Amino acid sequence: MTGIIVDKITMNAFRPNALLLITLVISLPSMALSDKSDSVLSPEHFSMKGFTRLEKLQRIGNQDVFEDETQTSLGFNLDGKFELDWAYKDFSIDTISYGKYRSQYHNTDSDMEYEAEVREWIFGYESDKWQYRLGKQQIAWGKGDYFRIIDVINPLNLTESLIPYLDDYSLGRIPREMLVIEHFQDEIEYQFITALKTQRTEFAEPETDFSIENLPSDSVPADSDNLDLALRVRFFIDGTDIDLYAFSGYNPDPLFTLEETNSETFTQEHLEKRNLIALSFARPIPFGVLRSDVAYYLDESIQSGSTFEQVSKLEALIGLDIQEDEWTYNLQASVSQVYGQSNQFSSQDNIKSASVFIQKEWSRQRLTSSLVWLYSDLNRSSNMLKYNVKYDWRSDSQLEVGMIVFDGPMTSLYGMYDDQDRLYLNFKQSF
Amino acid sequence: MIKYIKSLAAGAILFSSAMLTYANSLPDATSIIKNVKDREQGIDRYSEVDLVQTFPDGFVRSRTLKMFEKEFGKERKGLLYFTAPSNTAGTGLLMQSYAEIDNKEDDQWLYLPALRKVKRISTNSKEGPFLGTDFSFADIERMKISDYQYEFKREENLEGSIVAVIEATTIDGLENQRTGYSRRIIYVDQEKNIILKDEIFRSSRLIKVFKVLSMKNIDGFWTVTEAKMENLIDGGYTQLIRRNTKYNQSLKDSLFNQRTLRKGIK
Repeated sequence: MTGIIVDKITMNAFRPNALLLITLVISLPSMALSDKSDSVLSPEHFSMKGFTRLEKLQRIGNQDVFEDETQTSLGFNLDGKFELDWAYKDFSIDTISYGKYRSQYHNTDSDMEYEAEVREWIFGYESDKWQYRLGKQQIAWGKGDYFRIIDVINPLNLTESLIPYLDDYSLGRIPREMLVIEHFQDEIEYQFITALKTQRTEFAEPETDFSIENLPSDSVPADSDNLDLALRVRFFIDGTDIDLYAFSGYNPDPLFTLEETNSETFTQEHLEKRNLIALSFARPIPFGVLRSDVAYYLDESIQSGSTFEQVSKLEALIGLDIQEDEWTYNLQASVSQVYGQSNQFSSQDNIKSASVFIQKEWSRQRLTSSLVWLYSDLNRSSNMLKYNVKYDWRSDSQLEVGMIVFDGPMTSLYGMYDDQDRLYLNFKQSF
Repeated sequence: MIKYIKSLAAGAILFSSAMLTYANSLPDATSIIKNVKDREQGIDRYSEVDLVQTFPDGFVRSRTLKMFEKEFGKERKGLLYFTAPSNTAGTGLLMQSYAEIDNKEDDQWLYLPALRKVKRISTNSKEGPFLGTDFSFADIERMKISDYQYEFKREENLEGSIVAVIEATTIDGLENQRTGYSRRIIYVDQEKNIILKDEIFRSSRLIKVFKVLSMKNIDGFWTVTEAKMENLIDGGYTQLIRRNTKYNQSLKDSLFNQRTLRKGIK
């Protein structure tokens, strides 16, 4: 089915909620402090920017598993992003729209041929010590790249696996409707988040390139009218950025059980509670920047066969960023350990992951080449590698050629896409 | 023989004394550089800056940014916010520099719109290009007197201005670990306490030349309105053009934090 997803900006999204009102009323007095932040800036601001990108894709490797040439060619993609910002004094409206057309998608008849949406729309107000943002938006938590130890506020769009957000994380997160209030003191920042509806992780449809085997497609949906509350406290001590987090809400990854009613068997979707506390830090060291995320999931549910279990989980990540002249290196390692599982628990209780990013620049950043390698031992060891070369042939025009390779057993995290290795060539025009 | 030695000794003493008198009459190079560093620039400053980079093959890359700076006692905070071109717009850099006596490296945070995250960046090696331009991170940040030892060489007329020519060298003659430079020949307009020209060496090789092309007295403060950094290794050059500069605008302290990086300048 061809689908054009047009975001519905309706009041339904923000129906009256006592908690929301209380939060607003508590912070209202601060609005009296309002004034334009700095006299050098014009009271009115308007800006827009965006890009269009045309991309040609071709499968490589393992092509014997496909029946004909229409399956080995991946056609082309055309996508574009458009950002519009308007501000008057202390009020602002920001929107980000995104659209994508795919000329061909493996085993098509999917919703993925066209998509276009106002991804983000935010009404903002700020005073000297407070900032309010109401609308569909995304919040990035934690210091980790690629591995989302603490980045739990927005779910991911996995319809094209990890590919979209290796270069642009903001396109990988699914924006959701939230009220975000931030309060600033001298060296401390507080961030309060209220979200009224659980936004599910988006998975690829069955029979498409990045579909996940055994993921139910016809389940009875769970009620998503849930409330997520989150708090972040950020401070800076002795050269170290420290963030503390608390989240009480729901896991965006649906869980499933097999249910029976009147001799009919059906799959029931569940959205389960997730509570976590976490800490992250970043600090310069003699040869780079050391950063870390540590999260303890007090309540987490994990699929275990045809049912799921309530467990607790500890996840930790350590990363190192090194920049030497025209070379950039980012190294990460993470571990996840599940606690409190039953004897029948059928999932892996300890998962290790790692990533390496290396970038080299030539000709004053006009030509760059980068490599991303991701590793996971979920189910069995597997990895993904992306290599690309980018060239700015004009100030606002860029050519990119690259390769994405998955490797591992079919049951593993990256190995399940072993047939999806691809080459791509794209042209991006910014405006 | 003894008489000869005595005469030689007397001559040597006289010569040393004359040299000492001459040396004492020379301007103190370190003081001149210190005056440049501590030049009166108001409590805060705002500018719009164009970084126009011309590559050896004629390719021109232009970037526009808003620059805010404020003194916080002996510390200084700076905020750079890119507005053009669109593929760079929204990128922000927050810098906090400390009093030299504190012997603390600057802190820097970079906001990348694609990540929606403020990333702490390392400040140890400043010799890398600042956003791909011919300026390095060390060139754009507040100078550190202790990076070099200074020697007054001469006074000369540089395109109509009388300048003090100062040689800055590292103590061991090797590259300074922070800046990547081993030697600089600095031309200082002592009246305005501004560096008009800077010849930058690495391992005795002249690698870059910085030159002020124009300056203006704005609100009582001498301001460089156009400067050029020529890259003698790769070829090409970067022009820095400063527009709409304003001083003492009572910029709020709250402007200089990560919040501004995330939300942008509007």
